[in-house]
Amino acid sequence: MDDARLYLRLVSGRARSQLQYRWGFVFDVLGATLVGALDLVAVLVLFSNIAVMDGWSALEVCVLFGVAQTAFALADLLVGHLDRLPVELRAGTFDTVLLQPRSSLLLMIASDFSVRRVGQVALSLAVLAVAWTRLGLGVALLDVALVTLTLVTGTVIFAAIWVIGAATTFWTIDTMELTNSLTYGGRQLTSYPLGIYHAWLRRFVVFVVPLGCVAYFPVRHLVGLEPASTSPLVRLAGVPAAAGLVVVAGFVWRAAVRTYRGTGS
Amino acid sequence: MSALVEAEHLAKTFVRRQRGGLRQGLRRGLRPVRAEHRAVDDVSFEIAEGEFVGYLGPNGAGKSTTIKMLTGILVPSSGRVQVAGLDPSRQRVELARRVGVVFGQRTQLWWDLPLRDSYELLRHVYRVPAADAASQLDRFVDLLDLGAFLDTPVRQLSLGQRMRGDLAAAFLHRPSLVYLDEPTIGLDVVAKAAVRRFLAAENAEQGTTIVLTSHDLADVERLCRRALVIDHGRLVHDGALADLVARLGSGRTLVVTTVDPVPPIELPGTEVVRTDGPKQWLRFDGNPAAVIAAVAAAVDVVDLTIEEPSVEQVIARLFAR
Repeated sequence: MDDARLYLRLVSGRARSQLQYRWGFVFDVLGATLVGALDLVAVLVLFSNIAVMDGWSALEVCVLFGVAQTAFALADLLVGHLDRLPVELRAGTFDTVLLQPRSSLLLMIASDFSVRRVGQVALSLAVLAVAWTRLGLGVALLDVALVTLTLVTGTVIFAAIWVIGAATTFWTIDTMELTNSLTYGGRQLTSYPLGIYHAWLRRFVVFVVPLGCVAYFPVRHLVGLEPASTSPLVRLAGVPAAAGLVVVAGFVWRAAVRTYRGTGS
Repeated sequence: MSALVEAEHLAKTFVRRQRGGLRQGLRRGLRPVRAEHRAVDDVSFEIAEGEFVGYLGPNGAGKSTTIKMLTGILVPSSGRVQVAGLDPSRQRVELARRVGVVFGQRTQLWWDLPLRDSYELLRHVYRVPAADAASQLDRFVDLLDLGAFLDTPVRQLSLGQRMRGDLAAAFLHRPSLVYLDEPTIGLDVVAKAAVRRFLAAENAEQGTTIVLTSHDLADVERLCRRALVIDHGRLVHDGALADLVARLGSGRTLVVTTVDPVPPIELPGTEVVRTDGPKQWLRFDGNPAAVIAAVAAAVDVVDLTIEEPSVEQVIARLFAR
């Protein structure tokens, strides 16, 4: 794919320029990793007071935590910089994007790449690996495939929510904080078993903003907590959620750019 | 010659929602006040292939709004526009491949990367074959003297170097049409001359059609054969720049410093508009060389400078008539 090649070229350009500031880069990685580590501390503190959470042990929650946080960190790495869009709209620099003969969303996503997030990705994967091994879950091919698929769909879900949130700022300019509450808040929410939340919130994050489909259903199966009556298809809830969100995100982005250009409203 | 750009009764109206105070808001039933602003109002013109056109007007006259409609960034409220046979707002991406743009205040270069890397990335954005981009870049290194800073990160370039870099970026994909918004703003005399030389060459040798927006009358006089003047969203002049200047006079001012203060210098075709000790300001239209010779013959001159009028002053005079 030509677009994919262009993306890789542009992003490696950004990565190269970030690595020029060596010490700044090191501190950025450390800082971002520390924030992720604090979330892990929160889980451990919680489990120093309780033995199980909605039937999940500390290690089982750590698997969930590892999957959800990895997906979030990957999405943040890929599209987190879209929260700067309101600034670009105000400064008029978004026009430069519209003057180039490529998809404006592709160019915006490729305009940056937060290398410093790799620390958070590594930390989350490490938590996942340690908890996985301590639980003695083994490396059955199907299980590994399900984890990989879940990481991909989870990343796509977070990234699509980010794109939708960024697109709405074309209309509102100042609602990026609302989006951040969904993405950064979603990172916390998806790191714990859905059963601990109230029924209405559960329904909201499964059917409206499908954050609940990021990690909970497949991990529940992987750690052996899935009720016997549940259809195996439920483990794949992330696939339709991610696909649906990508369609919605593309649609909202196009509508937003049309409004910016003065066809809408 | 066929028309590359055609604009017919082009108009763009912006609706601004003004948020008043609470009291005002309550009185109007919390409905925001809508104010309409006609940024471009019934503008029609054609630009033929290979032309070099000045698009002039005071700040806020509607210049950038017109350019944005011609590039497809903005969709016109009414009227018709066609560029290179395409409808800009519907075929924006296709058109973008054939158009180059330089906004004086913004850059499309990668801030932290060496200048050379920006061209490599832009080459891929515009799908320019490697050999073609290399030969273009060779030409630009020559014409714009980029050699000395091709491997310097863009953030370390001086304003003049960055502008030259941006110009090369806009011409890299061999666009048939280039819009330039204030390409010489803030540049020193040498950099300005380099930019003008480059633009004249691209227009004459490559046949690139160029639309130039500038506050610098010297830019326009040296480069453009034709000027479009817009004010308050309306096109008020479309014709040879020489006609505009002849109609209004160039309106230059000669500042004369004499050895000792002398009475106001009286010469045909000039007018003393100000005096300050040994200094006198002479407004004149017409050939500067003749006026300078006449002044030098009449008084003992220590120093002479010519003040160019700004585009605004020329246009202000257009309305004074």
